Amino acid sequence: MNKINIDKYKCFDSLKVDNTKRVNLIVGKNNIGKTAFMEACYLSTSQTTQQLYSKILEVEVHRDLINHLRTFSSKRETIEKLIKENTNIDISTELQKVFIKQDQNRFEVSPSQGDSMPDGFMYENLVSLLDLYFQDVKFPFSPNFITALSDDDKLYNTIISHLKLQNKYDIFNQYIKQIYGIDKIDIISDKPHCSIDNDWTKLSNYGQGIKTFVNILGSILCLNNEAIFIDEIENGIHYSLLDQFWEMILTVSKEQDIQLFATSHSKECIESFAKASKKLQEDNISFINLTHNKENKIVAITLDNQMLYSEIEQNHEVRGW
Amino acid sequence: MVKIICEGKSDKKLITNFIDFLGYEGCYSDDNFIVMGNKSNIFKDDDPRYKTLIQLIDTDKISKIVFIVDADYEADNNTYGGYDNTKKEIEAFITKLKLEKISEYFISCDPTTKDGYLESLLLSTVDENLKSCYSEFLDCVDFKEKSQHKYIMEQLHRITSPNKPYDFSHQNFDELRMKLEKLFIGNTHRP
Repeated sequence: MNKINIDKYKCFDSLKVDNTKRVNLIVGKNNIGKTAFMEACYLSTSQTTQQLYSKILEVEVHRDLINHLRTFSSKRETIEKLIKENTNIDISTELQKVFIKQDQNRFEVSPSQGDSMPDGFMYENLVSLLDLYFQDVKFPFSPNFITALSDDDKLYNTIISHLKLQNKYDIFNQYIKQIYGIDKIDIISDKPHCSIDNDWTKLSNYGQGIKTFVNILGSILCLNNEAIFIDEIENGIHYSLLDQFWEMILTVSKEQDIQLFATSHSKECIESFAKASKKLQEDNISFINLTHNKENKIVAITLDNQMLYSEIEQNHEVRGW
Repeated sequence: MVKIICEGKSDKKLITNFIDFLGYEGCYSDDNFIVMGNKSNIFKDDDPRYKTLIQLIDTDKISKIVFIVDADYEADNNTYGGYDNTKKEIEAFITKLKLEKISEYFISCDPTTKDGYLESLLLSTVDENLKSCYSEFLDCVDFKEKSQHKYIMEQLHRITSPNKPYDFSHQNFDELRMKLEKLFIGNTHRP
């Protein structure tokens, strides 16, 4: 993605962002839409309707995990509510018939009426969609979309298995050792554990910074030639480790051919991002500042590496204009 | 927000002293300044600092700009040196960047000779006898580096008159005062 247009998604009426690069750091004041921006980009990577709805569910679970877990027993209502809240498409069922409502138009969906579907909706996609209605949706987290709530044993399990299969497990542990002094992370009885001097402790007993680091590094190493979206990338990570953290991210994501989008509120995190990219001579970065213009419309100010270095050098406020 | 674009860090320091004198202390921050490093950078339209500036203007974040640039000496540079050349070039540059509607400029110089730097403007308000002393000091120590003279004379004066180095109410500061007041009135930013 090197040009992004977002039309009518959550807080965005029409947002254009040009010159996105391989690694993109997104900043802006509270509630400006940083996470929504990444969600829209993430949703746009869907290749099928089923993927799209699956991702809509995923981003909504990330937004409101606790409440979704509370209503997990009534998943059909949850899914209907999620889809209704996030699109202008309403889906309902009556006596084995399925209806899709888009704006003021209501379509009955059945094999014989497949041709009357609105553009882009084929019958096959609807079958997939109905599967979502009735199958046991476990709200699986994807390694492509990471938030503070991605701290999930099942995801760690998947990541560690992938790393072992792809022979990336040793590199993963080398970085963990280098930055946190932990010898190894492995899954024991379905739970991630950390080993120091052969003494194993549950990862859940460690602080948020280590979990964030493990989650991000593991996810990047798992993926190849894909996009990854990380909300509040510095979450829990001590400022003194941020330079190393960014050097690791820039290096590993380049090796894995990953396009990375991340949000941050932290000045130290932004400065470390700039410092690490300068040190590694990585110019394929962009810094996207979301802000309101006079008409209260959300717009993006996009800086390349040299522009970012100049702003930081002059001690300008870069966390949000 | 408003921006003051100047050549160097010492210029920024002198300008902030003057802004404080005007009563706007605490109404500005580093965000209000773009320090270009030297005069030739001021005229580079592809400088990353200008690329950011243009985006900030396009997104309504900046409403007014003042360029503060040294006149220098025509003998040193017949394109950009001297008051008239600097005036011609800065006007052309502002037009090239399409900033005419929101920009002003101030050319720093000795108001009498119409050449020199921001320090020349400051020293133009100092007693002539004192200035002769500073010149004689530089001659006496046989200080060769002419490009540093302005800085040393300004520092000498600041050190020897610590309580009130400059009379900012002097008429030679009128033009700069007018332009900075116009910049800040209604646009103050408290960090």
